[in-house]
Amino acid sequence: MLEDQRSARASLGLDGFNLFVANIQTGFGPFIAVYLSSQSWTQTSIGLALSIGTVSSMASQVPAGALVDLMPNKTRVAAFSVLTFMVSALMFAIHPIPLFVYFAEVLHGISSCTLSPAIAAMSLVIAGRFGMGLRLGRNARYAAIGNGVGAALMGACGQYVSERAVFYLTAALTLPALFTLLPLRRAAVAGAELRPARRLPGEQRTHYWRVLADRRLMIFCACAMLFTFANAPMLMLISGTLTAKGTNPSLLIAACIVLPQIIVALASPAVGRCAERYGRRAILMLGFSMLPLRCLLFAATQNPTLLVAVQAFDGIAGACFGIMVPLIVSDVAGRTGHFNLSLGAVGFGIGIGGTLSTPAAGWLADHFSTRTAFFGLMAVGAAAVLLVAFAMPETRPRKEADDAEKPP
Amino acid sequence: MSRRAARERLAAARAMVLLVSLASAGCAGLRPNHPPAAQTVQEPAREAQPRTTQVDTPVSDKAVSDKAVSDKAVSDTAMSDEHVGVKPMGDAAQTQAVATSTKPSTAGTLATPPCTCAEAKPKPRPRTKHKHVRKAAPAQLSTAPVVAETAPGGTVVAEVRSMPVSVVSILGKRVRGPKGEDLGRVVDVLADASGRVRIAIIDFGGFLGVGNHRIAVDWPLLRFDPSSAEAPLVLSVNVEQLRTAPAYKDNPRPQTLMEPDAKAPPSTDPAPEPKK
Repeated sequence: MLEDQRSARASLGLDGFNLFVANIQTGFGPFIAVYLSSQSWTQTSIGLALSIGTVSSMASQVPAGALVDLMPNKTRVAAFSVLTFMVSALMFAIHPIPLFVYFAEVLHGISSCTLSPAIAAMSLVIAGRFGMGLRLGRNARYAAIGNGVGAALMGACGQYVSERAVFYLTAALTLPALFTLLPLRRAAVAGAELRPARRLPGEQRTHYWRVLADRRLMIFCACAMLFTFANAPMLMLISGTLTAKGTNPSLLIAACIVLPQIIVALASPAVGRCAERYGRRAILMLGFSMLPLRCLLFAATQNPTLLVAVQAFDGIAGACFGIMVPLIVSDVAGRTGHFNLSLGAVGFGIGIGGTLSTPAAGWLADHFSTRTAFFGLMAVGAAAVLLVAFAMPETRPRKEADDAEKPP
Repeated sequence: MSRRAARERLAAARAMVLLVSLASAGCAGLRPNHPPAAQTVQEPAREAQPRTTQVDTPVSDKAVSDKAVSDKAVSDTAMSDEHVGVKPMGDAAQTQAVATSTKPSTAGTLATPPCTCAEAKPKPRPRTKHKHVRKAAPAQLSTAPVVAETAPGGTVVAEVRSMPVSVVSILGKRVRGPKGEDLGRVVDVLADASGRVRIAIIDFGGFLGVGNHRIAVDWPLLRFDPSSAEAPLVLSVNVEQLRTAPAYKDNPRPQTLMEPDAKAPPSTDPAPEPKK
């Protein structure tokens, strides 16, 4: 059947798109600081450039989500965001003067904020509301593969070619990403009548304030913020320990980055299935409780090999969290017309958690010890678990509603 | 007590004067990198003593008649940030150096002026009308390298000439170990109160920017290759020592990886340092 073929190809296209986007995003990570140092940038200017990136992505989360809601064609939004990535990578690579770098950081910050809602929205179009868990599992799997492969590729590129070459590679990787969007373009047009943003074809949008003030969304946002607060500085703390204790720190740190991605790639589809079968809360509890466990183990051991092994738990947590964010938001806001706005709001909470936590954990590690920092993060992670356990309601849509809402 | 108060006032006054002088120096010192080109704007160096005197004037009138105390006040000004109980990294130059008290921007609030360490050529300054001239000040200045600096509220006649020696850009330069292993890059250079370069901050280790470790290394530990400007610097320490060294913290007297006695002048001898 033509329709089935199309949707299968669209599904494959989305897999590939997730993979390449994750590849690209690796290039825009903390590596920028290394690259700019190699270009004789001062620490102050580098700090400014990175802060500009953080601020612009934080500031554009919610507006970008609202903007994506208004755009009828999410594939076009995705293509445009990826093109912007290319421009920004080329600006880094060709001429890293302050003006260009700052501008590239702003471009990247904004287009990241339009890209992830666009991917989630395309997933919703392709899979429908009830296949969303499975679809997001696949997304997470390919994104994890992309992250792992990207880290390996770019690490090798930076080591053996040059720091600058990493950004040319990043720019080049946008081309296959655009290519994978081609089948999606047709799917988006074909699926236009089952646009997920509307409750029913003729119905009005819910007022955005009612969506944002939804109790489930607010509690989840708080959970996500606490989790990210506790999770974000872990890698920094571990790599500090590894640098001091390990025999080959760079390799160990690379392992700490890649190992969780492998676990995410392996576990994601199962996590997506379980989310549909056992509900969101169970998966959220599972993923969040990995974090205090990890903190405890890190505080208990200094052995480099064990530290890397414990990172496997990060893979489980990452798979659960990465799938639950768009899934729960789609449960809450999937049919209100404000799906992307809500995703942006949760993204904003996550951003705040991530931005505040690294300095906080660094302060604890400096003034007390790395172990104290781990215990501090453990407390925050445990708070996130408790919040899920006692406040977070189940958001999985009930099966009875299935038949009523399922498109014919 | 009044001495302490006077010293504090002196510190405040000096800070103000430095801010003004930096502002008048324009943006020359704020560029991220100085190209290693031969053309360098060289200010004719002059003795810094009249400027110091200008600042000292109100104080030396009242409380501080003792030169030693005054000198201490000046050097204290340079280190006036809180002392965080770390190993002081100074030696004789620290107490003698009074030519200027600028510090690199990472260690304080002021930016380094373009550090053209010219020979001290006492040219007559345009404005030398100062009532109070401290005695015996120039004698001690001769030991410290003099940093050219624009006078507060005035300019000196600068001229453009080629630099007599070839120079290299330090920021972003690769650092290798004695066996050629990659030790990272120089990401900052810190000078002491006299403008003499004391510390290189080396960004060490990590993967794709994760887990980097910034370490303060005593400047004399770095060896330069005089034959090539492209060649990486050589840091003659054990990788193990670099790995276990504490990360650089932004404070005026950072924990620094240095030779055990740390008094040796920079030498070009590439012999490895004694370990530990």
